[in-house]
Amino acid sequence: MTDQRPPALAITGLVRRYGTFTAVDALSLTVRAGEIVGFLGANGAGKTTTLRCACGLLQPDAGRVVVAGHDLASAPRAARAALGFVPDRPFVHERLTHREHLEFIAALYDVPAARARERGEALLAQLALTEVADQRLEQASLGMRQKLAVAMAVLHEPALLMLDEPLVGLDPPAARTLKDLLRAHAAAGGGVLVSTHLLEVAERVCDRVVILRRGRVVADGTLTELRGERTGASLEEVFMQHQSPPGATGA
Amino acid sequence: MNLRGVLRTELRLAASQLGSRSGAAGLLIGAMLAAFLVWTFLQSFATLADASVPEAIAVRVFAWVLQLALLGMLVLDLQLAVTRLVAAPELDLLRRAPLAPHQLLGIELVRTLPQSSGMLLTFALPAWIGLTAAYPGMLARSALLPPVLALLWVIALGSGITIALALLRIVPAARLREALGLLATLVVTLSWLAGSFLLPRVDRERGLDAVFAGALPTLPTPPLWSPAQWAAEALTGTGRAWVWLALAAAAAALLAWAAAHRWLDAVQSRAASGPFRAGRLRRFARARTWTTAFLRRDAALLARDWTLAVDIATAGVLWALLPLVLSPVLELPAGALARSMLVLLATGLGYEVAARALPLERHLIAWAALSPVGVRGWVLRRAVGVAALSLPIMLLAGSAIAVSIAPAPEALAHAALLGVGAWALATGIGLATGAIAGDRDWIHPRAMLGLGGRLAASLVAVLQAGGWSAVGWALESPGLGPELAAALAGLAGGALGLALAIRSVQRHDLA
Ligand SMILES: Nc1ncnc2c1ncn2[C@@H]1O[C@H](COP(=O)(O)OP(=O)(O)OP(=O)(O)O)[C@@H](O)[C@H]1O
Ligand SMILES: [Mg+2]
Repeated sequence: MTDQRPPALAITGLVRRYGTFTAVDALSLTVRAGEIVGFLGANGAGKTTTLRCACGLLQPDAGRVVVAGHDLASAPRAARAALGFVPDRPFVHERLTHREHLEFIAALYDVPAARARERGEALLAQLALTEVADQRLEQASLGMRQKLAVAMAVLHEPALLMLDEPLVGLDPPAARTLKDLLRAHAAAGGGVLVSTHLLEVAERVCDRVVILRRGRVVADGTLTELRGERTGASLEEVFMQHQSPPGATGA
Repeated sequence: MNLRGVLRTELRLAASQLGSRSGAAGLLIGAMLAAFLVWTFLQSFATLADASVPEAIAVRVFAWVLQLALLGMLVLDLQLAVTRLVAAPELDLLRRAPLAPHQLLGIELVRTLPQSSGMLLTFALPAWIGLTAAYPGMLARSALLPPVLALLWVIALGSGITIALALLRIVPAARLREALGLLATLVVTLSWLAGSFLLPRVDRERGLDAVFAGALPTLPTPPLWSPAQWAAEALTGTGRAWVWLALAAAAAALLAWAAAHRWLDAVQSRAASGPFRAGRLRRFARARTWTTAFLRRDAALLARDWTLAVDIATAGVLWALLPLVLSPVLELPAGALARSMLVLLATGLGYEVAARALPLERHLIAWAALSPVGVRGWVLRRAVGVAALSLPIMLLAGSAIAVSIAPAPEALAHAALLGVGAWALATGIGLATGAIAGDRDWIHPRAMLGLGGRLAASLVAVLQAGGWSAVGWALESPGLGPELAAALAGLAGGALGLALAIRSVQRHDLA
């Protein structure tokens, strides 16, 4: 069956430099609608830089980002409305409450009032934040902030959801909830791109993984595809294999 | 503790900050300020020498300068140091490290060194240069200056910290943040009052030079028991003064150490935990438009940081009243007085409200790039928020001025037009300042801009106030045409500032 929907995310030829250092180098990747893609790579590989370029927080030096058919550069408003982003450190205000954050975000994304209320309360409940919903963020723990960041990113039901190491600081039930949330998001037709260092999570949740090394994609495919002839290899073994320069280990 | 390592890291950090663009701007403005002060003191002491004022009295003048610098340091810089001590972002980390309270105190004091020593250095050094230039006999004693200043610094900071910690200990935990905010307002009010007390006493007929030469010889010595007097005596070579100075410094350091040992941990943990308020259960409510969402959020933020609102209101009143204080000196007619008050208020609001609007967003500003609102939409709505707060203040002040000073209708119209122009320009410039120099991690409500940004913003505010006053005097003629043009120019300048703010936010790394 061929998919008629545009991909949730299509990045082509993305380049981003910091000074003379090239953090992301001619990177292309696609996240199809209804697909969960794991974004892997060693520290400093360029995952955060890629995600920030893909959501408009950073200006790329070259390349094109298209979110659900909307070009981020030429149709920024439509592209931004179609994406949700969970940063590695939440963008929140200490003096506002959890609920006020969601109310503000609902207005920013033009979520209809009734839908915003229903979905906002449901997300607070699902993420076990109802009890603290009217407490200010200055009193929130690391995990609570992270959970609020997730709620803020999915409130408007974006076609593309991007998450930068969202599992950091989450307790086991919250991690479980997040994984369920990602699966539900994909099942409803949304695309997900999630960066993580937790390989067994990637193995269990993701339909496909993209491995990054020094700003370049070195592997892209389903786990079966990446294993190739080495059937039965774990994602960890596949990952380690892609961390050394080609030929160096003779793997 | 590895104090040497901490010092080295701090020095490297300071160097890299000075190397940055805003740091360089701050350095440039600082250098200009220093040059101005050196020039002022050179002139002042030369006037004294020309009038054959004896050296002993010149030293007495120097002692008064030290005295004022110490006072300024106590009220202006100390609260920054204390805020840092109880609420700095890195405290969480430091508090978990195996450090004794007094070691933590040491680290944080080293961090605030550039700020807390500024007042003493900017006044004492130029004054010393002025003194030794006019009285070359003193030049040989320059080597004594650094130890004297160091001892003075220890005395002021040590006693100030002891007092502050003792005060913060008895303030209820839930009110700690508010207490710090109120302290800031109080300090500004006090320095304003001091300024307004001194200004009218400048005799206009005789000029500043003559006042200096005439009044200074009859200047009393600072109180015998004040550190500034000991410092001046120590510089002129009295041995006993050195003993007093050293003893006072040791006592102040000991007191601060003891206060830190006993109270710092408790005060810090109370500041860290913040007020705990049981959640008031609310229904989920979504604003209809982006603008109302921003306004509603701003109202919530201001109501929560009500000391910030008090600070803004106080500053607004003080800026507006400044011409009233100056009027005995300048003998302003009613029309000019009303005009100056409105123009100064507008400039002040630009500095107090508009420049804070973007830093107040803290890390929420990232949503400007993430959400469909976009950076332009975001900054425009900040401008609406600023107007919603500062325009009513302008209107209120305008009505009060119209009723109380009662200028002629035409003069009132002049004042209103220039007031509108000044408000628009100050708002645009304020927003741009906040966008360029704002500190998203600010901890002190009076320091939402970086140090360089604050210096630049005050300079720009003074320039605006001076500029509008000059325009007001130049246009004083029948008819409203020129004033209308000036108001339109102000509006255009404001729009330019707004565009600059948008561009600056677009270029910033918002993550
Ligand atoms: N603001 C910056 N200035 C200069 N270099 C930067 C900046 N941000 C990132 N880099 C560099 O770009 C490279 C990629 O960084 P990035 O944060 O994207 O990596 P990452 O894959 O997210 O790593 P991690 O797993 O540690 O989060 C790194 O070498 C980093 O040092
Ligand atoms: Mg990262």
